[in-house]
Amino acid sequence: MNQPADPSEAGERSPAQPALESTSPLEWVIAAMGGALVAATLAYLVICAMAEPPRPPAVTLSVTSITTTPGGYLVSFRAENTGGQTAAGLQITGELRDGEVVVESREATLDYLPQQSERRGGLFFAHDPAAHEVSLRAHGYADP
Amino acid sequence: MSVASATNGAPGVHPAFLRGLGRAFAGALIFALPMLMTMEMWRLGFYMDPGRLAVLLALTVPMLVGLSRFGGMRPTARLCDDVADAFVVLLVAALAATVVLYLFGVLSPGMSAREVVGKIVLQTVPGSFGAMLARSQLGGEPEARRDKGAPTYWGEMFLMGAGALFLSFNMAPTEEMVLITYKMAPWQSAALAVVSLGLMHAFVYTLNFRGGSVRPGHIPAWSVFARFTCVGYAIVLGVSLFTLWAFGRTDGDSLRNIISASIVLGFPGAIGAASARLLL
Repeated sequence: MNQPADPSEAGERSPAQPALESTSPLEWVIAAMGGALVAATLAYLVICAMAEPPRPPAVTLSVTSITTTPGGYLVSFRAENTGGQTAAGLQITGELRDGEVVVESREATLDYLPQQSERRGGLFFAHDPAAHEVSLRAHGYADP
Repeated sequence: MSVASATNGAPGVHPAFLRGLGRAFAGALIFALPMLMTMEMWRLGFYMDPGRLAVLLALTVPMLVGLSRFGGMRPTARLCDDVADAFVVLLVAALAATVVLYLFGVLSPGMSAREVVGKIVLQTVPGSFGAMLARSQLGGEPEARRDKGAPTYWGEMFLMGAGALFLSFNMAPTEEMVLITYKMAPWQSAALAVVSLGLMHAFVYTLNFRGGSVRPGHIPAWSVFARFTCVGYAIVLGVSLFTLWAFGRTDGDSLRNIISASIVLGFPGAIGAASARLLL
């Protein structure tokens, strides 16, 4: 490719064949890998397209940790979408409860929670969550 | 294969090919970086319809084969060499996209396979264009060695389509596209279409850029305008419409908005189409 005016090349070339290169075995190997990757990806996407009747988002929320912060307490949560569609602008409310009494309520918004994926976030409380019942709920979302 | 070993010599093949791979990687990064760093592109990766993403990827293969004919990684003799190049650059572009997205933290554990695959595939498309063009734009060979002669009429139309697709890919995912469409009055849409047409024609025929075409004296100006610029712009609008559809931007929109959005996206597309004829 980068050998200018290679005399042996010039000598062996027939007039009908200009200075063009054929594909080396190594390149064929890499091309085959590329081809296999493209074929596999296409197959996967087509399967996804066919096996995905728009199943609405199904959100599960769980508390992953409670830590103290300088201003109070942080409840970290994990949101998992087991549905077949993405939830955009997902609103999440966390409450500290004493039975029926809501002691404190905080909200967070997840920009996107894709299908079959998880995202993490946190809610800041002034009261100690360990002394109360923590409840997490998803309120609503928009189609992206 | 025997021809290859006879003309190039076995030791010479691999370093040159590896250098070509390196260039392709660089090209994928240069052309795809704006998109790798656009959050709408990451999001489209998971909420875009998988069927449309498959159509996009499937169409990329013949586009790359065509680009390889006119520019590409190396001077190629046969169509099967172009096909090989197309799959090589797809692999390189997928690798580049995966590495960069992972370093950016856009790919992380806890994401579904669908999300990861979608994000990578969407970036692989522009990256592979860049990788394919890397040879023609960054290559060290003298012009003459890779000169394959002037493309035919259909070749020029194809190049315009490829240029339009590449540039519209940069803009189509952004929120601004939709916003601009809503801000424009109908007369502004019409004016933008006229301006796009004028710019396309000027880029190639009037401003005398390197690579531009000189209209042969015996062909009247209106004929060149009708056959090249107008048909080219129609291709640009078609490509814009396809890109908007692929990204789900046409879903549930009124016909007027769809036409208007095609014209807005056709503006960068027209510049891309004209540039493609200059660059390639």
